[in-house]
Amino acid sequence: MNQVVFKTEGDWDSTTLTCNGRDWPAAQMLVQIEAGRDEYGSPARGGVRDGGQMSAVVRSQDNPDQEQAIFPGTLQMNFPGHEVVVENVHPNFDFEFTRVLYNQRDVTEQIVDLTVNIDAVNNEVQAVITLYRPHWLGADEVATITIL
Amino acid sequence: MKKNAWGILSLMLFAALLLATLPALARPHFGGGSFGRSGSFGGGFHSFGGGSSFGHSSFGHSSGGFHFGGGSSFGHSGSFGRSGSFGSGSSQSSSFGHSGSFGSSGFGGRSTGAYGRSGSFGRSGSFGRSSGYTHSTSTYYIGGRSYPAHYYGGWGDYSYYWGTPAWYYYTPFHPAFYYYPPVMGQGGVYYPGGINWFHLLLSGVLFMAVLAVLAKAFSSKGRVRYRNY
Repeated sequence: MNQVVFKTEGDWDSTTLTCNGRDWPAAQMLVQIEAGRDEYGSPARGGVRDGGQMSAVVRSQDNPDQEQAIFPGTLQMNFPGHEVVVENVHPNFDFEFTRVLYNQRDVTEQIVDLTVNIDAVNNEVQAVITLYRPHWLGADEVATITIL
Repeated sequence: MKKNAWGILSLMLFAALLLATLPALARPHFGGGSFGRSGSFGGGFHSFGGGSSFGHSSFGHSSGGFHFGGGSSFGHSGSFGRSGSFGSGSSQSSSFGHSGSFGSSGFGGRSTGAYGRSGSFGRSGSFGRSSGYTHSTSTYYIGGRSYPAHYYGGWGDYSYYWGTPAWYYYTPFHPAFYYYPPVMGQGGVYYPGGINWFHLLLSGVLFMAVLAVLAKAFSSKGRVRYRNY
């Protein structure tokens, strides 16, 4: 099991990645989750329960062509004002066992999309989370939150 | 979205109509005469001399009572119709009974008049009633017996509906639901029971819940709003 922690304050100097307490010199970290969709591909309530797919890889600085899997384990990502935790400790990395927390709140059944791309080589950063928020009154909401 | 809004509006209108019509249907329990028994033409349900059509005092409150504020209930001085029929709205004399014209029985306090009696059109409690407070002593029927009862006018008199309750009095759509049954005071006289605050609160919560469910059902079914933060 990996305990991966990503931290950034918004610039490259403050950005760190550790795995099980040790620095992980990386060229790129890419996390993509796609869930919470109905049979037509439209966002729906249910999140991970609806099924989906996920990829979470790190390309190390030593060997950028090789992708190293983050899971099974826990990935904690700290951004300025935001915190995302993705956890999948299932040995076979079954998607249904994925848990997602956003700012300490369990959004496993609300997650629609999560994209985190920290690409040091190409100097690209992107972190976006999309949640399905059902409402008692009024229309349900698909909220896209730009983290970075 | 507009379609949904119209749906909600229609439902609210329907609920309002329901609220308005059920009490009106129930009102004939008290007083009144033949024509538009009390409530039919906007009258209160304790009409004095709630007469029938021609010279017969029907059921209802035939005993003497008194009004405050001088509505157009009794004391008719004209021949046909009330004295306020044609432009003399404020000339109601305060004598008991009908002072003349057709159908007046001439018995002091009994309103057995026919034409122009207070219970026909435009009697006390109909359109443009000028009195804000009315008190009367009348008869309350419960369990096949009659008792003297105080009527104070306004919504509080719905308390007396519980003498012979209908099933819809137990629903929040009827005003009687919000009042306790009348209570017997000294001398065996009944008084209105007062507001049932618990029912009032309960129905408020109920209406809010129903409204919420309806709003949810009609405003957002199948709709999703996209937002970026």
